[in-house]
Amino acid sequence: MKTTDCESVRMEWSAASDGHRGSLDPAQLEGHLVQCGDCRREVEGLGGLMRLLDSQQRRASTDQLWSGIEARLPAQTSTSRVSRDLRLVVPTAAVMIAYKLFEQFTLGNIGLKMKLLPLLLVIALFALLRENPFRLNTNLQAKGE
Amino acid sequence: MDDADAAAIRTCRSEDRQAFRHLVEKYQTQAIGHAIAILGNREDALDAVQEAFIDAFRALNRFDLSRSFYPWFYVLLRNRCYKSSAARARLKTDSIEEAEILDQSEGMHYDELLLLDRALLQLDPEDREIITLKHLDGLSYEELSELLGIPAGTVMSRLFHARTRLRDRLTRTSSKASLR
Repeated sequence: MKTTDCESVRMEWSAASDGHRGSLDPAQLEGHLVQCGDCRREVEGLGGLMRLLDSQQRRASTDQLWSGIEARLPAQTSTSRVSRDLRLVVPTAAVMIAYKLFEQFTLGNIGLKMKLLPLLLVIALFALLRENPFRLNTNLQAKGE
Repeated sequence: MDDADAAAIRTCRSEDRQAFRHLVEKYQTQAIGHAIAILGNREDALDAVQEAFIDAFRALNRFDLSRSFYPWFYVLLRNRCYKSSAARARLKTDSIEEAEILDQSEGMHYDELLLLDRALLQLDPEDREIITLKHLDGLSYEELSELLGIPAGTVMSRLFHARTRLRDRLTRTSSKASLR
């Protein structure tokens, strides 16, 4: 059973006034407020502040930032720069790897074939899934944050 | 995702920097308002917004076109703002003669508005941010949760404590003013 201590009642009341349903039901909140004068005064004060804030509006800015930003923009977005570099690197690397593999396979080195096979399978799998195994996920967040 | 935003982002990705202008001009007012709410200072806010737009341009290739641009951009903006806020001394609010965050609304005397604005400026940036997003932008708990990257329960407690602190500041400022 939840305890209805004063601070959680005030917090839940404030959330309920915002239209958010917390963990206490309205009857519990009402019951506490009927009995507790301190909480009644507190929520009246908070209610007044909330109404005052709701009637306010943000001061609008007329500043125009484009000229300042344009002068400082890099030539291109980061991945497009990387893509351009990759357009040169990838074919060169592919040719070198293909040559090395051809050289090794024609020599009949079975041990190397067995080592390379899983690697090739994994590369093929990522290519098939169109997934970059080295991509960092910047949307991850710590639990409870 | 807004079609015009998606088109602008695609064009930027094909190395046309001018297409980025659409995003800057569309979101700058909103972004400046949000940066002022965190930093409490117009000049620092303008710098932070500029830096955030440059960060966004650099990161456009990582942007998921199925999402809206502004919530993604807001994460970059608040990173910039909090970095700038950490590097700066605490705001001196007594000398402020003009409201930074709030605009004059009907039925409110300018002195009262200034009092409220100053009380907001005396809060920590996190408190100011959540209060202004809730009350000036009218965001729901779910929207706040998504924008700030915190669970709805945390939104509830942060908002409650921020409002309590604001009310305490206002009470203190009002009693000081009435003593003068």
